[in-house]
Parts: sequence; C-alpha cells; structure tokens
Amino acid sequence: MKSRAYEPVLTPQAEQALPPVTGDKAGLLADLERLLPPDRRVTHQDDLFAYECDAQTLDRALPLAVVFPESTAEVSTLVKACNARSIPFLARGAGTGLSGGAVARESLVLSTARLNRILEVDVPNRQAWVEPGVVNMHLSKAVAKHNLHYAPDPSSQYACTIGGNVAENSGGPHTLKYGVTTNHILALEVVLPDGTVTMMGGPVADLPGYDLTGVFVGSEGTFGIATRVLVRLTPLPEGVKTILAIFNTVVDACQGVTQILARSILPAAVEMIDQKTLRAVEKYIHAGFPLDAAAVLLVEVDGLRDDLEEQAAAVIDACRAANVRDVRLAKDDAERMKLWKGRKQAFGVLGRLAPNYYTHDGVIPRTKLPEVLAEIARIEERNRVMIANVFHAGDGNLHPVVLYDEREPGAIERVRKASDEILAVVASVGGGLSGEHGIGIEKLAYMKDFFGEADLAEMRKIRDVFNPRGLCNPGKAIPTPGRCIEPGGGKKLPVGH
Amino acid sequence: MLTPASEEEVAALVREKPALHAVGSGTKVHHGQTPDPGEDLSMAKLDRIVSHEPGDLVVTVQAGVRLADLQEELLDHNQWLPIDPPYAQATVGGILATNSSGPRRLAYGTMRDLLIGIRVVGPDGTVTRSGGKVVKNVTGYDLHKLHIGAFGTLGIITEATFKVRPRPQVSAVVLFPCTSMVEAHSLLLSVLASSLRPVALEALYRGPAGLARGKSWALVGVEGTRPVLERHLKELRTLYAAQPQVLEGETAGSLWDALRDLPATARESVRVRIAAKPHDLVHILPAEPTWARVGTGLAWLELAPAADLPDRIAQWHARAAERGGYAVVESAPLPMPGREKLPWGLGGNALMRSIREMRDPARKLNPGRMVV
Repeated sequence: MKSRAYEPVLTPQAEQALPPVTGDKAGLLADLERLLPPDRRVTHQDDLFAYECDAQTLDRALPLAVVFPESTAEVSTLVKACNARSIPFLARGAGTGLSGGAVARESLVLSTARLNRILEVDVPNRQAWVEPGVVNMHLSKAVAKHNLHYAPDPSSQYACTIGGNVAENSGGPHTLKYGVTTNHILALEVVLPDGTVTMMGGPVADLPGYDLTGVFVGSEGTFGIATRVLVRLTPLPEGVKTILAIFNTVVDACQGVTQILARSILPAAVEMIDQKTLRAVEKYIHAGFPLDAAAVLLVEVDGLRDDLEEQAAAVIDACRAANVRDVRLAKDDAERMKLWKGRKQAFGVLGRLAPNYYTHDGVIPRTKLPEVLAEIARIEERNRVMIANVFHAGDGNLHPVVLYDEREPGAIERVRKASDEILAVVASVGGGLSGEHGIGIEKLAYMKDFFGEADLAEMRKIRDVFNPRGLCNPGKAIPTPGRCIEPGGGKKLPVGH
Repeated sequence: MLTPASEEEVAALVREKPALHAVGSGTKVHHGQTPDPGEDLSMAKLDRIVSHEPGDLVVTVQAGVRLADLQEELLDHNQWLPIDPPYAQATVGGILATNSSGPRRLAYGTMRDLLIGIRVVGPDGTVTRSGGKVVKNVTGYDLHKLHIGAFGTLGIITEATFKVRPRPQVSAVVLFPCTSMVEAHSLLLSVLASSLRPVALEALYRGPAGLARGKSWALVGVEGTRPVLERHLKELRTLYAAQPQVLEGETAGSLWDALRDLPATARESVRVRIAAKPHDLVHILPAEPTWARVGTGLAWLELAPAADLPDRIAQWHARAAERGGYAVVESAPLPMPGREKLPWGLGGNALMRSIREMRDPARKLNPGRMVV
C-alpha cells in the first residue's frame, strides 16, 4: 500500500537523539506478520498517527509498527526479533507521559494495552502482582473492597498505567506522605533488551544482592520492559481532612508551606494553585475556589481518625502564622472531591487559556519556594509571557506552566528564554530538573546543568549493562556524549505541549 | 589502617592501592563473606554534617558521621532520620553499605526509602553523584539505590543526603507476655490486620535486658500523637486475654534501644536471617530460639558455630523459598573455621555480576565481602 510522504516533527535535540533507523525494517514487518494475528499489529501509516507522541506533543514521529503482545513470552519473542533486525523498540502504556519518552521514530512500539490483568492480590500481606498495562486507578478501585489502595496517584491516574508509572517513577499529590512509585514496587519481571526474561526483587524483605528493582524504576524504559509488577498495597486512611487556605500573595502561600512543614505533622498533600489557574479552573469546573485570591493551598491530612482534628488545627494555625486571608475545612466529601477535581484537572483547563503551553517540572528545596516563585514572576514579566503555577508545594515540585500562542511572532523565542531562565533558577538553588515528569527527549539538553560529565558517563555505563546494543528506547533519559545539544536550537521550543 | 580526611584523599588512596576495605566504626565487619586481602580504609574522619536546613527536612552528611551524632543534631530541631539500626556507634556509610535497619522500619521504611542523593568514589578514583538534595527527583537514574546493601563493592560512599521527619510526639512499647513464639506471631499478625498503625511488631523469644528470659513476648511499637497512642492502647487491651504492659518515656526508650541492639548481643554466634511474607513467616520458622520482625516478615536465629550449619540453613532456605522467601547467613565470628562454607547470599544473577564487572573489573573495592 502506498503511503503519503511523512516528515516527523522533532526539535533539533530530538532529531539528534532519535536519528532515522537503519535496521532491516522490511524484515521486521515480515516477522510481525508471521508472529501476530492482524488484530494485534498496526502497520498502516493512517493508523500509526495515534502513536506519534505522548502527552508532550512538540516532538512527533511515526513508529514503524505498533504491536499488542499478550504475554511475557510474546514480548520476549518480539524483542528478539527487533534484535535480529537491528530495529529499536520501546514499551508504551497509556501515552500520558510528559517528556516525550514514548516517541518511537521508525521503531517498534510494544503496547501494554493487552497486558492489563491484575494477576493476584495477596490481601493479608498487602501486595499484588499486576501486568504493566493495568490502569493506576483501576488497581486502587479493585482493591478498595479490602480497604487497600495503590498509593502513588499521578494526576493522570484515571488513564496512566502501572508499567508507565514504573518507567517514570511517577509521583502525584499524595507522595509527600506516601512516597513515589519506587517506594511501592517490590519486584519486577523484566524482558531485558536482548529478549531474555529476568526477575528483580521479590515478595520478601532485604533480598541479598544489588537493588536492581530500585535502579530499574525510573529508568524511562531504557533498561528493559517490565511484564509483571509486584506492587505494595497500602491501607486506606481511616479519615481525611482537606483544608483550603486562601492567600493574598503567592509569597504568603509559600510561607504557609514552610510553616506547615515546621509543625510536627506530615500532611498527605500540600498543593498550591495560583490566581491564573484558579480563575481558569473556576470558569470550567466550579470547584469553589475564590477568584480574587493570589494563591490557595490545598492541604490534606489523613490517617487514623483520632488526631485528624489536631492535625487540621495545626495546619490552620500554620497558615495563620503565614498571614492567611481565610482558611477553612472542606465540610464534606462532596466539597473535598470538588476541590481535588479542580486541582487534578488544572492542567487540562490551562490548555484552554492559550493555544500552546509548556509545563516545567523542576523541584527545589522547600525553603526556597518564596524566592523562586518571586523570581518566576520576574521572569514572566521580563519576557512578556504568561506563567501559571499549580504544583506539589509540599515536595517543592514546581509546575510553572508557560502559556503562549506559537503563531504570535517572537512568542517562541520569549518562551524559550523564560524556560531557560526558570531552569537556571532551579539549578542555582540546588534543585532538580524533573520531579516526576521525566527527562525523556524534551529535557536532555538541560541535564548538563544538573550533573557533571562523569556522573552522566556513569549513568550511561549502567544503562549499557542492561541495554548494551542500545535498541531499547534509545536516545532517552541521558544525553548522548559528543553531541553538543543546544536547547531548542532552531525556531522550535525544546519542550512543549 | 588508612585514615583519609576528605573525599579527595579517599580518591587518591583508591587510585594508589590495589585493594581496599572501607570501614566506618567497624560494627559490622563480621557481616558478609570473609574479605579477600586488602588494606582497611577508615572513613571515620569524614565525619562532617555537610548541611541541614531544618525547613527543607533534608540533611547531607559525610559517610563517617555516626548515626547517633546525626540524630543529636536533628533532635535540636525536633527532627530525626527515621531509622533505628543496631549499634549506637554505627556510621551512616556503614548502615547504607549493609542496608541495616531496625524495628521501626515497619512504619518508616529502610534506607532505600530515605536516601535521596549520594556521592561515591569509584575504583578509578572518579567521584560521581546521583540524586540530589530534593525530596522528589527523577533527574537521571537512581544509581544511589545500587549502593544500598552493596558492601561498598560498587564505590566507596563519601556523602549521603536523606529525607528527615519531624519527631513523633509520643513513643511507647506495648508488651504482651505469650506462651510461645507461635502465639506471639498470631497476636502480632492480628494487630497488623487491624485498623491500628503500629510502627513495630516484634516477637521475642530471648528477651532483651529487663525482660524475663525463656519466655516469649509480643511487642507493639506505637508512635505519633497522644490521641493515636490512646486509641492503640484502648484497642490493644481488648485484643488479648493477658493484659499488656505499657512502657512510655525513658523506660520505652531503653527497651527500644534493646530491641534495636538485638543483633549486637551475640557476636560469637552465627546469625541467620530468614525472610518470608509476614503471614508465611511463622510457618517456615525452625523451632530454635529466635526473634522476629513480624510486620516485615523477617526473623533471625543465633546459632553456635557447627559443621552441619550449611546443611541446616540449606534446609530452612528450601522451605522458605517454596513461599518466595529465603534463609541466608548475615554475620558470623571472624575468623571462624568453615566460615567460607556458610551460605552468605543467594548467588546473585547475571545482571548483578555484569554491573560489578563493569564497575570494578579488578575487584579493588571491598573484595570478597559480597556474593553477586
């Protein structure tokens, strides 16, 4: 069948990270016809567009094919076929990633959509074996009847998969108290990049040997493909209290965070939402946020019901010490759910404020929040861009959202400059480039600002132990040496939505 | 004994010497396989708390800092690093290298949950780091996880950064006398299954100082706020016919210390660690005197050195392995006849061996200590 001419849309850094594939594509396509029934492979160009990118849409490239394996053995066979034909490959969950980690230029995409079974739930020992395509929220719903849940809760949890969470070491609002993905993964069955199957970790504590599970989680799909995941299940909290604190300035709200953390309580979540976001959220979701506030904090305490009043009182007291304008408890579950809906859908509604937006994910020491937020406001003004802030304040995990219209002359250059300045501030206070979204291809150029060449070389060496031929999700997570990558380079942004 | 006073001096010595054994306070030199020849490298002079910003709940220390000294610094700010491994004088580097932990891990986790950044000296003297000083971070691979429990074989840890927590307002131990270890297990498992949130669930046969010997005990650790403690006491009192003894304040403190130091009391014996899922553990434990971290599924046996130990441990391991668990030797007198015949690990696997081979092909770092 004749295909229309197709050109990938890749930023210069992505073009460098993902060069055209030179392996035996025709050979692999022939293999796929032999290995899988037609309903479990996609090879026609028109059908491949859905797999051009993940939720980071600035970098787009068509894969060679998409396949839907249903077992570990099939994944292994497909990976071995890729090796024989020298074709790169990667695993893809729901495609909700925010750093371009699932862009598979001329490569094979192994979708986990049909590896979506919850295999075994061990209620007394609080663990479950699941396949990587299980949706995060489906797992929590499935075990709720046992009074358990899977604690990491990314905002995309209604769609994102456990396999993707493992690859990205995903976070979420409640990781302040409960930890991120890595704290909840006990063992992995992995198809290594050469197609062999191995087990990492196990259902029991303190296994002797190196912590392969610990280094695999967060490796952004560059160490292999997890085909079964043993997760820890956490008892549901007996009670929850959600507090809405309203501030007249962003700096006061930041001080509120500092004050809360200085009390001897550990809230489940401390989220900040600024005025631009509040207004956007109210317009579309009506969560009950005040429109005239400079910022609000959404704070949640949970656990045994006995001291929740006391904990909530401590939070309220801390906010008062930070010059809060008004602070109140959500009166019931309905109000609580509405407030959280507003928070979790904030990114979606921000997308309606401007045709384009790009979200940063830098993470900073929490005491630096007031000065960094003040600096971001100056960056916004100086570069004549619009920046909204809605983020995991308790963890210091910023999400400045730069809103723009790419058709406006000079807009992209201004956004790029603002982005560089934001990341420079994050680096200058000892922060990290990404708190939870991953490096993917979009942040590669900035890695040198956060790690030295020796650190990156060590990371590459470990990757090469797992992935010696470099066929498993090449070009992602760690920049390739010897290629001087300029952020953005040409007209396009390094990063974007 | 080499005594470098800085990371640069550690790196210089690593470049110069053919083989080195990094040592903190030396509390766990009897852990792991018998080392191959090499010079001891003391980390004791790298004893600086590099930074502690209380408002960030993050602390960075050099590897030779003793945990007790770190806790004292943190106490000034009503914070702590929530880990309670044995030996008061143990250093942070040694605790990381041996993945040492204590009874409260049930609530607060182990080093892999607390460590957020590291600096290490590699076998060629190159200093590298991973992670950082922020509590949530996906920038670069989590290489620091590989150094936990690696006995220094992948690099000499020079600096570590941790998440810390506010100290709990109250801390108590609730003690139940039991007629047998089986009974203690079943009591503690019922606590684990309840709505309570204990920070430790320990079954003891050979009681620590202050507890009658030769009896079995079930201990429930509770920490947090006063109302949470009251809730626990109320429900724990209805759980069981025999009324528990409740220790708070200083008496609880010394019992916590005794629990923490259980492994330190018998350096002349061979200590075997058995792991299983919490509800499986009691079914695979041998009858020998033991203590068990019931909530996490770990148990230890202290055994006199004997020629038949490898066979006996192999049998226990086979039984544990049927349920996904294991039995390995954790420590043994050094030297001890037949020490090399003891099962020190699970044999590792190809990936672990490849990582070791890539990182330290000449086996310069802590040679002999670890099976992978």
